[in-house]
Amino acid sequence: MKRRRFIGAAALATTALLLGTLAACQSGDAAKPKQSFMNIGEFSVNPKDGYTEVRDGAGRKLALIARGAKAPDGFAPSNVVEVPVRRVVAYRAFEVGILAALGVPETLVGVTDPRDKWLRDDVRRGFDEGRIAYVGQSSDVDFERIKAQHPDLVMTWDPSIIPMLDSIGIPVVVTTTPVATCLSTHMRFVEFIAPFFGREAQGKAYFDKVAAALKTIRERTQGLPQPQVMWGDIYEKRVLVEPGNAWVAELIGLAQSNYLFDDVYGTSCIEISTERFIHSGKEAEIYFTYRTPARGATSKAALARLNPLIAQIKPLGPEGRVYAPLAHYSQSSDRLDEILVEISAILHPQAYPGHQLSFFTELPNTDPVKIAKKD
Amino acid sequence: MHAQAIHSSLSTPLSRRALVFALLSLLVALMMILNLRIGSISYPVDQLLGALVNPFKKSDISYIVWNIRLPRTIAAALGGAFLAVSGLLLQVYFRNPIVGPFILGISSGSTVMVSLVMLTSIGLGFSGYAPYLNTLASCLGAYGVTALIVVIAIRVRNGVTLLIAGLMMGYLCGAVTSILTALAEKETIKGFVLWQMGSFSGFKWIEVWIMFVVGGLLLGATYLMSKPLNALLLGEDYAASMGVDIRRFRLLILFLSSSLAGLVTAMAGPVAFIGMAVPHMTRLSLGTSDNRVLLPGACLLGALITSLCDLIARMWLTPVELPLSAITAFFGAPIVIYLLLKRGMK
Amino acid sequence: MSKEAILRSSGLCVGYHQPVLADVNLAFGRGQFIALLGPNGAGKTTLLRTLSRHLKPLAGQIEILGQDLHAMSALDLARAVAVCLTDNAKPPLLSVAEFVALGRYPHTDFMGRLSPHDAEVVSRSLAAVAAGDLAARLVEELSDGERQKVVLARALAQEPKLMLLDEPTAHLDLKHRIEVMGILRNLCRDSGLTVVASLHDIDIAAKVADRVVLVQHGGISDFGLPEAVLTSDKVGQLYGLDRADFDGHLGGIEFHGDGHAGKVFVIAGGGSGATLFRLLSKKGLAIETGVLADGDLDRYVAAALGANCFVRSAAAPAVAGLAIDGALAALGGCDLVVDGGLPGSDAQALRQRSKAHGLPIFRLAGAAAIDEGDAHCCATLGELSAAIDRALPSAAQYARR
Repeated sequence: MKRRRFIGAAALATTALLLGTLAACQSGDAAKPKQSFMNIGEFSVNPKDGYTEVRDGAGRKLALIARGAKAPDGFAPSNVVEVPVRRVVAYRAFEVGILAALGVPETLVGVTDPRDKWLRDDVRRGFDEGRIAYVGQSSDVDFERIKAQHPDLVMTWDPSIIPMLDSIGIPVVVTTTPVATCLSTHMRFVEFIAPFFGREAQGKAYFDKVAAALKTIRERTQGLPQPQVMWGDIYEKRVLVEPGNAWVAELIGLAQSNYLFDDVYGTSCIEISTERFIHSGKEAEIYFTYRTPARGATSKAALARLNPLIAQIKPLGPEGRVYAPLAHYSQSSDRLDEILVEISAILHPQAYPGHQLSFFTELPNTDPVKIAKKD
Repeated sequence: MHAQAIHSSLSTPLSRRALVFALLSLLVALMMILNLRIGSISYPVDQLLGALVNPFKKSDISYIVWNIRLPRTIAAALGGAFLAVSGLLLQVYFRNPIVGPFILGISSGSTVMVSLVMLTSIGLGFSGYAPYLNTLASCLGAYGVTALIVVIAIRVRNGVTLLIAGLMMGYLCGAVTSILTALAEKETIKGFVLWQMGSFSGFKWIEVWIMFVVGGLLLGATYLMSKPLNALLLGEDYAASMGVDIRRFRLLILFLSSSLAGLVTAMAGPVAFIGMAVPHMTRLSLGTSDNRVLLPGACLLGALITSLCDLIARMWLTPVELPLSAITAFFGAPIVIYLLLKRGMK
Repeated sequence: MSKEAILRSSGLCVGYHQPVLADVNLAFGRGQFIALLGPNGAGKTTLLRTLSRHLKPLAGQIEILGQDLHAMSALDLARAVAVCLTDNAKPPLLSVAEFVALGRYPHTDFMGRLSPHDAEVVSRSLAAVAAGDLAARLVEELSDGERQKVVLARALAQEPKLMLLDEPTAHLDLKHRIEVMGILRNLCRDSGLTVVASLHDIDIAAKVADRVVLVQHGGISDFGLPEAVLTSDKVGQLYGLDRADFDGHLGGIEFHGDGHAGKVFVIAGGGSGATLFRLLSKKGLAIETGVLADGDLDRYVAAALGANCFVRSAAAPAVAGLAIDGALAALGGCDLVVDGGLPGSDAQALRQRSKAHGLPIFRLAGAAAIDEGDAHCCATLGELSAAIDRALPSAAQYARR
């Protein structure tokens, strides 16, 4: 009896939250005229008389004004951003990619990873030229260094830095939301960033490119048999999966595939019970892992050795396939269209003959005899 | 009071409370059965029974029952018993009710070793030890701290001094862990944070056997020490005057308590609260301080509470797993408060 | 009764790192009550802790029943020696019976199971301290006096030959103090138990102990019968008594009067003056008194209070004349006279001289009368005290303070 009540309550909560999130996404999909109010999940862009009002991921309202223009009333000075932004500090590789997509990679002046962690040529060159500075780890940035870069804007996921940056007069925009972003928001994020740089046209063009890729994915995979897919991570005693409301799960659904953890709700990769992992894993044909090969995802055998209890899931056996992201995957948000296509190609190889993997690698059955220590 | 009346009130305390123990044992058995019956995947009872009765017939459900549910159930019960006894030993030794099994830095030692393995590239070098790398590291950390504690206890006479030394070691290990966390790559932190919250998930049979055998021996040794433990209720000075070899006894108590706590932490990570709260629950519900009664009582109650918390942690938002330490605190704190109020009102 | 000492120490030096007491040589016999006396910090507790083997001696030897203390096993020692400490242990949820039963530790098996004989001993121990009715109560709920008795009972349950007690009566009221002391004395006498207790009540120690040990100045300054050892000088020196005196005959302490409020002559003798002396001394009056016989109680009380006594010694009658002369002369310097009512020629002479000087005379109604109407006659001591206060305003001020 207790169990039914548990399941019932959990199901109710899950459904309610899923519906809520989907509703938030739906509103963004509705066709709207270009110049009017744009809702992008939790973000919004609202052109007004003389300025553009945007709402960031933390619900803060910022005013974007042309350089030298008068700031509108009702905005604190630190919430007013002069656009186009010429110097920006970005916390996430995702935002760095977006800058490239908008065609303004030279505006980047500060990042939260040191040069040797970057695989993007434009960032490495920026370091070499002395334009880009490493401002410290994102959990503990060095405000002095940020200030030394004289940025017009800081893009962050950490609202706790706002008071400090306010006091030195640097505007902040929070680029993450409390709930997981759905696919639509993920794709349209570029349209939220675009007004900051005056690149609305490029933003729209980028979105159209990704949307077009999505359309071709739908067309190519229509009517094809649906593979069973799982996406997560394995530790010595624990297992995690991407929740059903994550954008990858959505994409998998759109690409005519079944994501096996659609019923799991969360904000990001979340721990689930081993028995559920095994139960669904037995049906999965394709497993996307979180780990890069550098962090131990070198072969199916290596993953199986990490947690022998789940070694019998289908993807780790001869009948399934395992894919690990390559190191630059997380730094390639300007190639989202290519990433979406590659995921689709992995799901339906027969629809993409001759496709070469560039963002993922398929794990071999066993480790090669000579194991490279690092990549 | 008549001598005979005194004799009957003092003799064979276990037999007098036999009914309570029988009830507790029954509850523990029921809880374990419940843990086997309920899981993220629902199986019909007859299939579960069939899998239990016939372990050699291979099937999906047999695998889940024998490799996932049964080891976890047993590990949770054993872990709870060990933590409760560990906490009880320290509470008696320090004569302090707010002491728990990790006060001497055991879990901090485990955490720092596991952080070395999970957050730095050192762990990648030892990947050959998978899937026991975390367990081994945690074990090393816990028993390393245990050894240090015993060495300090030999030199130090005062209980409070030992307590402070243990606390300082805990802080030191915590500091190193913080530094490692700050310097770690972001992808590695998630797994480490999960470990820190403790879980009985993922137990292999070898680990269950080790817990059973080693822990069983430790529990047995502890029970044989009930007599000097009772003497210690009056403090070290009185205990020494009654015939307890205080120097040897002190080391033995610390070793047993730290070993029990270290065993659980090595395999399940730091599980909070059980070691501190269950001795109180046992004392208040059995109404005595006699360790010959409290020790078995704490075992049973610890097993019961921990099994229940494990069930809640994995079933409340199933299939999502909640952190075990949060559930134990949520569950245990109100119970202790309630019991204390009930006693205060008498 | 065996002559073998229960405890013997030779050349014992005790302390933590520095010596607190040196060259302690003691021998305690069976059935003796030994009181350790000395000021705070003298080393009584250190000595007791060394004798109970809680502290290692810095030098010297201790023997319990002929065996070297440090060669004995913990259990053997526990069967011989039991302790009662100042530690106020309050273990929760433990009944008195269980608490006392813990004392059977050295006699029970490895799991601490109690045999009927053990229960018998527990019962007897509780009865010996008159706490039989407390057996079912919880230790944490007892009053201080009850708990002290129960602590004693626990030590008794060990069936020791020697019991070491550290300030067993420290927090007890008079009733319980007397009770505990009485119990201990009976145990010494009836069961042959040797008790060593550090005490602060020198009066009680004097009356109960068979031997006293004076602990001061880094060693044992004296050891022997209280009647011999506890003299006024020795006690005064032990505690550094300045404004008080211990009287060996009386077995008690008397405080010196201030003497600034005036001078009073008390016609005393035969015990008639003892209570009056104390009353007047508290008023701050300096006291002259006579003529007292040598062994008179009044003489000791007066001396302890610092009064000036004129004493007639039976052994030297030639000096007797000097005593009465001196007393009569001293009358001149006094402000008032209090008459104890003693008959006799000396007393009469003093009364007449007082009248001659015009000094006010006070006496109690019941005292032997003289037919002088001048004496202020008071029915009770209270009236007497008030009358004196009125007569001497400075005295009254003093008394009211």
